[in-house]
Amino acid sequence: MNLSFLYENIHVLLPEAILFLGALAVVGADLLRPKDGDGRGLGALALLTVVAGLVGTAYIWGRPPATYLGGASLDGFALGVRVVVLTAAFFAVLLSMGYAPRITWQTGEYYALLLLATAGMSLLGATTELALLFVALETFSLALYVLTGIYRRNPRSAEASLKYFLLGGFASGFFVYGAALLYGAGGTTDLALLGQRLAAGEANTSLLWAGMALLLVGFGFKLSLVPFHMWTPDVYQGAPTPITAFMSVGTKTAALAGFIRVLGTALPAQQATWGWALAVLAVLTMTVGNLAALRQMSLKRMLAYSSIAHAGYILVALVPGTAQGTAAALFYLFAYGLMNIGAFAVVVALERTAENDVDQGGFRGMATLYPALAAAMAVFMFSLAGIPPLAGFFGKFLVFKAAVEGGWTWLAVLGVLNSAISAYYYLRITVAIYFDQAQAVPARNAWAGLNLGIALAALGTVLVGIYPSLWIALFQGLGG
Amino acid sequence: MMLTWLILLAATGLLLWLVRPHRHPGFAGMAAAVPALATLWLVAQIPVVASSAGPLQETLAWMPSLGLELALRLDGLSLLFGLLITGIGAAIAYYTHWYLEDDPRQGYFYAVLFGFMVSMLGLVWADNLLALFVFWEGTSITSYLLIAYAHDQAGARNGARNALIVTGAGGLAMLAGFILLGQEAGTYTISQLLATSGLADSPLALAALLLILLGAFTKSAQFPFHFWLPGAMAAPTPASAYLHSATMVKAGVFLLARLHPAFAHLPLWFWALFLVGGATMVVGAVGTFGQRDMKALLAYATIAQLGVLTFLLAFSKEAAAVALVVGILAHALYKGPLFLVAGIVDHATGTRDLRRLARLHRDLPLTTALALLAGLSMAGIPPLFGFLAKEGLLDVALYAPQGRWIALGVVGLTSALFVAYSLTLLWEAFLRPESEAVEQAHVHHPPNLAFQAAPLVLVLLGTLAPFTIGLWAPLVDLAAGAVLAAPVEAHLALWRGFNLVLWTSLGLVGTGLLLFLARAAWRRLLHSLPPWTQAARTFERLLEGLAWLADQTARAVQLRTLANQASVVMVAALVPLAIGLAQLGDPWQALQPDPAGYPGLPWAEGILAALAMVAAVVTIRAQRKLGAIISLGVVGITVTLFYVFFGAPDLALTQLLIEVLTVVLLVLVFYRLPEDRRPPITGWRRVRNWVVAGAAGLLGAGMVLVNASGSLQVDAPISRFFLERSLPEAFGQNVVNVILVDFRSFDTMGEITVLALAALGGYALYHAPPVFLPRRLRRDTASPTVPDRPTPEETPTPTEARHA
Repeated sequence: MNLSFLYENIHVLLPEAILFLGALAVVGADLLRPKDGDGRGLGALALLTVVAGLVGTAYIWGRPPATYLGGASLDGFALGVRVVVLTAAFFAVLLSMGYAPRITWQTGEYYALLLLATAGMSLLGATTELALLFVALETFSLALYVLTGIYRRNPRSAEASLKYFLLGGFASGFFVYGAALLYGAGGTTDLALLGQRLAAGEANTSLLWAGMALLLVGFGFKLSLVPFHMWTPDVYQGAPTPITAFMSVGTKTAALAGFIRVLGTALPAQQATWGWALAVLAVLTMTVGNLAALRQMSLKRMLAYSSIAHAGYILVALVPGTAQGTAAALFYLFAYGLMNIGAFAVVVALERTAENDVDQGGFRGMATLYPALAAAMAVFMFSLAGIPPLAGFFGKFLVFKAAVEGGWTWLAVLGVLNSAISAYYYLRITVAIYFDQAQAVPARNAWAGLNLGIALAALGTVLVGIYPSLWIALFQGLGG
Repeated sequence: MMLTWLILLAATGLLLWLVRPHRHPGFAGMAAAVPALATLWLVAQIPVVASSAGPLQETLAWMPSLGLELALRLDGLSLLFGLLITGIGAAIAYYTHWYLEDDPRQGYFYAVLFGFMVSMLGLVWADNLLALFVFWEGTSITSYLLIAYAHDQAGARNGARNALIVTGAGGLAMLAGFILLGQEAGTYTISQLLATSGLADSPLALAALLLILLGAFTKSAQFPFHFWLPGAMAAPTPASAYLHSATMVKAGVFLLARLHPAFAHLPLWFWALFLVGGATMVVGAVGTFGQRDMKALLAYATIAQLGVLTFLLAFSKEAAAVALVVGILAHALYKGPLFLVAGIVDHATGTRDLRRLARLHRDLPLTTALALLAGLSMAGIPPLFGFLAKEGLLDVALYAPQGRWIALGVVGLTSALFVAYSLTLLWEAFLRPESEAVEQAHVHHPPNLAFQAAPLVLVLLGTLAPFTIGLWAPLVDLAAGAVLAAPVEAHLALWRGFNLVLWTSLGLVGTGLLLFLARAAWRRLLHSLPPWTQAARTFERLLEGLAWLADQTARAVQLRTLANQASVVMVAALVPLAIGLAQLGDPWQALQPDPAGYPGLPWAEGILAALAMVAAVVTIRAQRKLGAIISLGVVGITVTLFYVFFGAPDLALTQLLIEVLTVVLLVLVFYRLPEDRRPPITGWRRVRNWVVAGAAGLLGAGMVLVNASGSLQVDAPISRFFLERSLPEAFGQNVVNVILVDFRSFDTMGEITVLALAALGGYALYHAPPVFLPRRLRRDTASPTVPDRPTPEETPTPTEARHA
């Protein structure tokens, strides 16, 4: 039997292959490590794997377009998603290095699942086929359900994990049902072929509409769009903070990548319909996210609602269904990844392990004690608020510009006004850090990886803001 | 060259940080030298810009793909502001060294101050809306850092927060306006945009204008956003003098002046600026009487002056533009020194409280002289610079084309109040023989000449200005010309004969004197006003309202329990599905029996459906768990029978097996669970459950309808392929078996592997030791909230316990 088709063009999935092998290596190394070891070597191995994944991405960069088994393809979009996801994973491992051993002795499982989740997210960017899309979605989701609950001594972590799992399973059901109906409508799971058939009017429209609606629910859950966002604050608060940081960027990037693939490749002809649906969801998501974030006492919950609002901004870019919008969304995700992970990294630095969170008292007046940390937090908050010349500003600028050029001016204006509301709660934190009197000495966790992570994220936020051309050019080329 | 100056100034700031300038006074000279040189360069550019060559332009491609370029343009207006920023900046830089005497963080202050200077220069020189916005927010951040410099002082917090929120939110609204404007004009280059004809007439441009006005008004502390400015006085005095008087707060005025040529003909423009400017003048001028802190009084005076400038921008007359330019110049040259003097007083006596100050002229003669010159200029007493500015303002108000009586009333009141509060400040702090408070302040720390050099230079410039009009008139022509986008030739003179303007002016000075004498009554009146009249309080209320809204939203969207969360997802999923169903046309048609190909038994089907429904209801209503499980099994078996009727016996067999297994497992599990003693669900939760259950049912029914509508056969059936090939190619009679072990053997192998692994995992779990913490972890994380023992979720499950 000729099996050569199995390894033809296999380089298309090189980064994912590296990540899977790395995950296996971590599990293997975990078996061999001494009983009293703290698993620091496992973190290094995971970091090495992520870096190797980035190298792998660079290795296949610029190669001619190719597909593997008709399910995954090598194109600019896939590469862009990988950059964002692997960057997020890189930071997540850095933040976990001193963290994972404190909350669990299962560090091997921790890093292996983290790598598997990364692989799933990264695979999602490359898939061009509905069934593989679902597999990729479940790969990272299942890993994240476990990671959310891996802090087993913390009841909130367990609650978060259970909620995430049950609701996530629910949403996956919607997703897979929708995918089945789309298959029924077009007779194929290949997104490009589906798009051709739908555009040619050969499809069964009633199945198409219902399928689109169900897919919207499924993606809406993963992207935590309002009203499918309810799990987000609970899960973000309950999960170990480095995992929250990773999830807030990785899940969004991956789910958005899948969403863009489905909308852009299979359903471009239906833009007139889903454009409006997305616009409504974007307005709801931005507004509810920002309003709910205003009064959160817990820093993690606030960042959770803020991430909901950011998903709304990103959605604004997708509404017109243009290549520019896609490029803007990717750039936004990259910028958002740096600043949001940075903000969570500061949470990691300030939290008491047992609480797994930081409230107002935890950062009040922190500037006098930890000026560098305070400055980094100020950078992240200013950037999240969209104040130039930081990365977040250019993300917002590109997103709103894409909307305006696509003819959705009112949506862009609502988006900007929303970010004016959001300035309130981001700046409130900065003010509390600098002006309030410290009530008690805030905790300060420090390990090399954490400090490096915060420094790199802050540096990246500033550099991307000061010289965005490079990144914009990079992602602009990937929009197609 | 402009770009070079920006880089040079930024580099100077960084260099000053590195050299730790608090060590030696020589560094003050170094700090002042670079901006002073920039001022000289700008002075040298006045004839160049005035010549036929026109404005200087420089462009640096920054993000060409976005149309974002660092375009700098030096015309009359940006020249005027550039001179103020670098000139006052040099004075402030020199003064800072003595104000922050021996403070080791002085270098940091310098770095941020120069960062601010660069942002501000970039703002006024930018010829691109987006570059302007970037610099605009740059001033926000650096000003925030400057206010934050004194963060250990109590009371600074609210002020800083308000300043940041008001200007930050305003700036973002302005960005929305810029995007709209750029989209409408097709360009983000300001000079091209202003040249676009008919730009202001589109409705989109009106929306853009409103948003931009919001940004400008918040930045320039216009009513009702004026309250942040007094709050920002927590900043060190050099920063207050520079940001909150001479430069940053004028950024809004600058922006309005910049956009004046394109929008000034709109009634919206006129009335918005006229009314807001007028209200700001009065509110600022009246507000001064409530203040006992020198800096707060000066802050309200600044608000009043900013109102005057906005008011003048409402008009498109030459006189108004000239009055605007003179007003800006005069204000910078008297208000800057007054702030610096306040800083010197603070430094010398340790207080700025007017109640505790008196007769400073004895101990601080030079400072008092400077304060007198600057203060009388603020009052508009001839022949000082402020007089010229007031003449211009009165001239505009007396001959206003619209709303003349309002204009006269407002301007008259404000001018009189200018006199009154200037005299109040001078009398109470410097001249009167005794303070009100028992604890009178004393001079502990008299300032040296160098400390007073900066205000001295500025006051000298301001005092000499009215006598050297010829020297700087070209600048006024250029700047006013840029505001009007037309050539202007100003006729400025200190003495213009006994005309209506002069008589009015003198009358107002007299009124002001009376108001000054009656200031105690004014203060009582102001303090007796109800609290809602204070904008800062109203803002607090607004914030509280927003917080209330946020709380409500959070309560509404933040459903903690899983049941609530799942319910919302379920109901929300129904909405898009309903929209999808609406596309179907007539879904009921799908339910019409198809007589041709229907193999089933209609009556049997009906019985089965009824049975399934009854069983479902019993499952929910059952009092005992065993009954619920059994009726759930009945639901499953009726579904299995449907498969039988539709001719899928092997599928039915599989389903049956699974149903039986599920029931057995459920019985086993529930048998071991404790009795459920929770109270029955009642009230609204019961209603909600009904609604959600109904929604779920509708969802299911909708899906059936969708599936039943139209033809599901989208491609050729694949069964023929397997039927034809299973015997010749795979030598098997049973097609299903052949598919499993041959055609799809890879799938089968994968499934077997998964099953084997799951079995291994189950076996491992069954034999796993109970979960306990290793000793190392127990020691590391011991803390009061985490019990040393395993918490409930870690207690061994029955299975594990058995093996322990």
